[in-house]
Amino acid sequence: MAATTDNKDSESLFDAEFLDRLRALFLKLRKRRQLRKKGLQSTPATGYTREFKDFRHYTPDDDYRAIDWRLYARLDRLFIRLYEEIQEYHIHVLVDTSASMQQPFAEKRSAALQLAVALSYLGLVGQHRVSLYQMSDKVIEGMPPLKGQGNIRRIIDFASKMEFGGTTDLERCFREFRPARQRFGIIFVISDLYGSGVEVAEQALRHGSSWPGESHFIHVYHPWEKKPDLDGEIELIDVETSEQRRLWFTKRDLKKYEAAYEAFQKGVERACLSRQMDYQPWPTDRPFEDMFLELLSRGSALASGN
Amino acid sequence: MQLLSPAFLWLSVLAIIPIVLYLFRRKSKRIDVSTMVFFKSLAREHQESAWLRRLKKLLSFLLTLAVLLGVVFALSRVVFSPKAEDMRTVVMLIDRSASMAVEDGEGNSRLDLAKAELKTRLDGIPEDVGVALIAYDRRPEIVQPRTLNRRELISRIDGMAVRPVSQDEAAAIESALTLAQLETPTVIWHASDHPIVVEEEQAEQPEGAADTAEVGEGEGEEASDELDDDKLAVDLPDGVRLEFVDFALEAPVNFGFTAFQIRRVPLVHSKFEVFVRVGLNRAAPEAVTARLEVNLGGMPVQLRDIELEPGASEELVLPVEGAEDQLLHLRLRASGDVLATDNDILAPLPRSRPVVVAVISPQLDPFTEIALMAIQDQGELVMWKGTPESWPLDEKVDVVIFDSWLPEEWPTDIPAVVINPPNDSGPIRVRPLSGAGVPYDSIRASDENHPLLFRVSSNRISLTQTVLYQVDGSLQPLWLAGNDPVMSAGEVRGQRLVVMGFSVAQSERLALTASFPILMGNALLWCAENSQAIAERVRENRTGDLIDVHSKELTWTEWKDGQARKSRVALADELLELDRVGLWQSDDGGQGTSYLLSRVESDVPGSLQAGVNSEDVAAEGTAQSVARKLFLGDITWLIIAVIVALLVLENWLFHRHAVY
Repeated sequence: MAATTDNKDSESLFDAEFLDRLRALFLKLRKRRQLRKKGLQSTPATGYTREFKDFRHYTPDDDYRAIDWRLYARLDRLFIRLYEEIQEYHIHVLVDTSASMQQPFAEKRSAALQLAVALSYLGLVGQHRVSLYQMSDKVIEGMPPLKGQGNIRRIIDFASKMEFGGTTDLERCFREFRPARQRFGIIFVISDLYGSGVEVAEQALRHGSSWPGESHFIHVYHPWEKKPDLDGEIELIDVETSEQRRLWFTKRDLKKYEAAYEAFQKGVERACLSRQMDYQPWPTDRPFEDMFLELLSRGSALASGN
Repeated sequence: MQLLSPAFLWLSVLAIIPIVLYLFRRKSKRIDVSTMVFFKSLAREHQESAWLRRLKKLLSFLLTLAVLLGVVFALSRVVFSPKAEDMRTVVMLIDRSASMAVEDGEGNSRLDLAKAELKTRLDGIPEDVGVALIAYDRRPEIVQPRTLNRRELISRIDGMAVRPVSQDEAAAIESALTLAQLETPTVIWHASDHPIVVEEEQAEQPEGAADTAEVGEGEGEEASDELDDDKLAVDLPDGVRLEFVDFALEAPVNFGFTAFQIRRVPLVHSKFEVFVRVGLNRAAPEAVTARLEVNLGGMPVQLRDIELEPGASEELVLPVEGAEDQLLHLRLRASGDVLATDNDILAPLPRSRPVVVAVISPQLDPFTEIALMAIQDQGELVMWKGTPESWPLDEKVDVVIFDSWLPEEWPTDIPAVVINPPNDSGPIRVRPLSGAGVPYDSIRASDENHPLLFRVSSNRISLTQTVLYQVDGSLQPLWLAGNDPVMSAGEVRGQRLVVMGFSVAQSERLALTASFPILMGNALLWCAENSQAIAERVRENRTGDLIDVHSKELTWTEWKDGQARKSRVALADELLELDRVGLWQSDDGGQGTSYLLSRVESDVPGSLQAGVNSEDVAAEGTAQSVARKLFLGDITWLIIAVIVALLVLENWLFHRHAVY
C-alpha cells in the first residue's frame, strides 16, 4: 500500500508555478492584513525588546524598573514604558500519510502536501521554526525543525518523499503527539480524519486540547467521499485494511450515507470547537488559494503577524 | 412419460430469459473506498467467500430454471405411466360396495374419487393397451370387456354408482384374474377402500415386520384373527400385477347395524324381541358413543346410548310391544358417522296367526287340556279336539298332538307332539312299562338351552314314566329319568317331532306346575316354527340377495331424509336382486326387509397411507402403491409441490436477510 512519491510527483506538486502561486498568495495575504512589520511576529503582549510600544499608568504590581522617570519629572505622574514582545512560534504540520489520503483519490494527497508546504513556507517566511510530521498509525517527525526561508527546498523535498500507506490510528497519533513546551506554537493537522470507526476521530480529538499552542484540524476530503456516486450491487474494498464489503446500494442508502458523513463532520467540528480548536473542512474540488486564504483568515496567529 | 397438454411446451423458450440474464448479468463493481466506516453503518452484509457466492449465484440460476421448467411441465400436465412393454392389458377393478359411498369433507364419495383417479390414469396409458372394467360388490360385473375405445370406457366409468351391498373381493379378483390372463402382461388396478393382499408380497415382507407381527400376536389373537378374516390373499399368476389404489379416509368413524332380527316372544301376545348387533369400525380413532333410537309407529319408544371401542360390537335384545304390521324404525346416531347406509332399519312387526293344533286322544287328559286352554287364552293357539275316529283330519293343522294314541299310518307332513304313546307307529318304537309306570322324583335335563325347555324349571320336575320309546332318526333326549329318555325332540325326515314317554295324568307334580303349560307351548311353537303360521313372518334379507317375487311390481319403503318414503318399482322377472335398503312389499302380499348388515362394510377401513398399522403397511406393500400413486399418472400436483419447495428453498438460501 505504501506509495512512494517520485520526482515526477514532486515536480508536479511543487513546481515553480506552485511556488510562484505561493508567493503571490503570501503577498496577497500580507496585503489583506496590512501587515507592516517584517520579520518577527508581533503579538499583543508586551515584552522586553528594544522596540517601544506604548505608555501605561504605573500600578503597584508593575516592575518599577520600567518607570519612565523623565516623564515623571515632566508630568509628576508615574508611567511605565511598554515594549514590543517579539515571539518565535514553532509551526507543527502533521500530514496524514495513511493510504486513505492517497487512494482512491490522489487529489487528497496533493491537497494535503500542498497545504503542508504552504503552511511551512508561511512559517519559514515568518521566521518561525517549522516541523513536518508524518502521521498514519503513529506520528513520525521526519526532519528536525527548520527555520529560515531558505529551507523551503528541504521542506519540499521532504514532503515529496513522504510515503503514503498503512492504516490510520488517530487515537494513538494524537495521544503520542506531544511537542515540548519549548516548541510552543501552532499545530496544523492535515488529515481526512478517517479512523477505524465513525466515532474514533471525535474521541481522539480530546488529546488536541493538551497540545501546547493553537490547533488547527484541516479535514481534507474528496467530494465523492461525501456523496458517493454508487448504485446497485457493489463490492467495496477498504484501501487501508483491504476489508471487503458487498452491498446493494440504493438511493435510500445514499441518503443514509450522506447523513452519516454529515453527522461525522458536525461531530468533529463540535469536538474541535468545544476544545477551542479550529476545524476547517477542505474539499479537494475547491481552489487551493481560496481555501488557504480562508484558513488563514480564521484568526490563526500565523496569519496575523506578517 | 406423456404430456397431456404439450402445446404449453413452447413456454419453455422463456428459459432463455434467465439464461441471458445469468450470462450477461451485471457484475458487481469493485470499488476502492476510504470511507468504509460509513458504508459499514448502512446495513448488514453477507460475509461470504467468493466461491460460495459464485455457487449461490449458480444455484439460484439453476433453481430459477427449474421453477420455470416446472411451471411449463405443470401446465403441460405430465403423466407418467408404465412402459408399453410392461403391460398389454389393464383391468380396472372398482369397488362399488356400500362403503365406497363414504364422503370426505368436500362431499366426494370414495367411488367419485376412484372414478376420477382411474380416468386420469387412463389418460396416461398407451393407446395400444387394452383396458377392461369390472365393478364389484357382492358379485362382480364386467362392465366393459377389454377394449381400446377409451371414450366408451370413460362413459362406462362415469355410469357406475355405489350400491348398498356388501362386497365379495374373492369373486371380484377371480373375475379380474380371468380377464387379466387373456392377454398378459397385465396390471390390475384395484380401486377400493379394502386392500387385497398379494401372497408374494406377504412372503417378502422384511424381517422387522415379521418380528413386529410376532410380538403383536400376544396382544390379542382374537383381534388379529378378525383382521385376517377380512383380508383376501391372492396368489397372482405370472404376468399379472395387482396395484391397489387406496381410497379410504384416514380415520373414519362408522357406527352401524351388523345384525338384526325380530321375533315374537313365545306365548306372549303383542310382544316382540328385536335382536340387533351394532359395531364400531376398527379405524375409528377413539371410543365413540352412539345413540340408538327405537321408534314404533312413528313414536319413540326407547333410547339407548352405546359406547364402543374401535372394532368392538355389542348385541342387544330390545323388547318391543306393539301391534302387527306396525312399522319399527331403528336408528343409530353417532358423531362423525361417515356411512349412513347401515344406520337405519325399517321393519314391520311380524304378523302372528294362531297356531292351529289338533289334539287327538281317546280321552283327553284334563291336565293337558288345561295347559292347552291356558295357551289358547293368550290368543296364540287354536285348538281342535278329536278322537281317534276323527283321524285323518279334514282340515290342515299346524301341529298335531297324539295323547295316548297313535295312528297306524303315521302322518309325515305334520309336526307332531306325542304324549304317552301306547304302540309303535311310524318312526316311534314303544315298549309300555308294566303297571302304573315308574315314578321319578327328579329328572335330568340334557340340554337346558333347547327351545323346548325355555323358562321350564327342569330341576323341579317329578313324573311317572309309562313307556320306553325309541325313535328312528336323530331325536335329542331332553329329559332323562334314570338312564332312559322321557322326553325327546328332533326331526325325522324333515318332520319335527316331540315324544314324551310319561303320562301327564299320573304325573301330578308335573301337570300342576307352571312349567307344564310352558313346556307344551314351547313344544307347539317349536314344532310349528317352520309351518305356514310362522313362515308368514317378514322375510329378512341382506342387500344383494336374490329373492323370488311373484309380482309385477314392488313397493319399496325406504328411510330417506328423516322419513319413510314409498316408491313403486316394476319388476322384469320374478327373480329380484335386492339393491336397496328398506322394506319391500309385493302385490301378492309378500314382504321382506333388505338391509346391508355387513360387518365388512360397516367396518369402514382407514387409509393405509395414514399408517393405521405399520405391520399391515409392510405386509401389503402399501409403500409401493403409495409411491406409484405419487409418481404414476398425472403428476401435476407433484410438480407444483416441487415448485413450491424450490421457491421456499431459494427464499431460504438467498433472501433470509432483508438486504443483500
